[in-house]
Amino acid sequence: MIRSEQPRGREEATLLRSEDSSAPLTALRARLDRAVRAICPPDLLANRDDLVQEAMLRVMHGHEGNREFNTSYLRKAAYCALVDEIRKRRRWREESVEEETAATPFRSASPNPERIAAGHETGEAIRRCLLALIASRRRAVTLYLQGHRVPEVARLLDWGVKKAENLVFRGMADLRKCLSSRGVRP
Amino acid sequence: MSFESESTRRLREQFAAIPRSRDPAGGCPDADRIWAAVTGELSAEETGLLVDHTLVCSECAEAWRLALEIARPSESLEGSAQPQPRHRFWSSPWIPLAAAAALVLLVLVPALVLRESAPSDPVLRGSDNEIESLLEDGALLPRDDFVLRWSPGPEGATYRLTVTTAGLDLLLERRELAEPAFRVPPEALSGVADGERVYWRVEAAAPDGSVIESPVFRAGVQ
Repeated sequence: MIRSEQPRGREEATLLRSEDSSAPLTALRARLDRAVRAICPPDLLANRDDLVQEAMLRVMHGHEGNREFNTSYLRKAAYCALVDEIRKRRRWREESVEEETAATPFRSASPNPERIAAGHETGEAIRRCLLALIASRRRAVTLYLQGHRVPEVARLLDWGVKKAENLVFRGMADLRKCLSSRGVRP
Repeated sequence: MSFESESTRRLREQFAAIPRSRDPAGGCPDADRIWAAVTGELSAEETGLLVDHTLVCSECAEAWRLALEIARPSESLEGSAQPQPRHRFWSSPWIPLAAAAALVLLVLVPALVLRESAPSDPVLRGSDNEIESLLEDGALLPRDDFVLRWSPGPEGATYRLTVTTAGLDLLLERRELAEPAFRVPPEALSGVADGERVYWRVEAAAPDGSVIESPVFRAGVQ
């Protein structure tokens, strides 16, 4: 059985989307929408609007009566609501036998199963190679592959930018070497 | 500095396509903890542990990317809200001055050491523990006279030179170089456009078997 994933209070959500004149919330919604579209795999993309609406609703419910929106705080609250919702929906799907037997996170992205399998193999090789790196290079490269810029890597791991540059550079070289030894050419 | 290239972009995409997994030991961090790590509110040690977790838990890796996408400032959407980082050092207006001062020290001090040691020792002997570029960082060099120079390692050392594009594609590798300088042939730079930077580094192998690795240096092609 596939569980319903209808968001609660759809009318309220629509009202929020169409009539709320608060610029921070409008911007926040656009930001969430863009983030989900950019990051989430297709199994969640099909429910993108619902996910974003649900996150926005939870933020609104948490701020009833408070019209002083702190943008940073709103972003964090919306993000947490979004991730909680994603996790919840995935757990639902895993509990569903029908979904379980058919579950392939990227199946709707590409109709080519060979390509999907190859992508998974490469991804798995990347993970194994990263796990074999020394800790500092592993963390630097992981953050870099996650999309952080070198100065951000430096800040998050409390390094100087030069050190972060070196660790990313050497770590990326190690990663490519390891992938090459496994016959993987990214 | 950016290592961004087509190859790096592909690696990022493939990294993001790592098959769904969850930490077998369980214990995924709450969303607000991932947010705190991404926005620099956690200690480096805590952040490092979370980064390690994302390698064995692709769902948390995905949550990390979502946090980055949502937290990262974007003028096109909102101009005012910035995540509050733990350190704001890198955005300081003093950084260009500090960088310039560091560059002066980096370039001039070895040169002064060379000058002072010249009467007794015609060859610069840098620190046995460091290999430094003798070029200005990011200096533009003519492609038909692209000579990379670095401070010598221990007596009798040989050098391994690696030159890559900004995307870390290998342009040239030379081993067993006896001299602390190398002229990169123009054909090795044929795929590099004028004004683009390449990255290079050196490993010095000492006769006693020890190896000294240089930092990564930059040079522009013109």
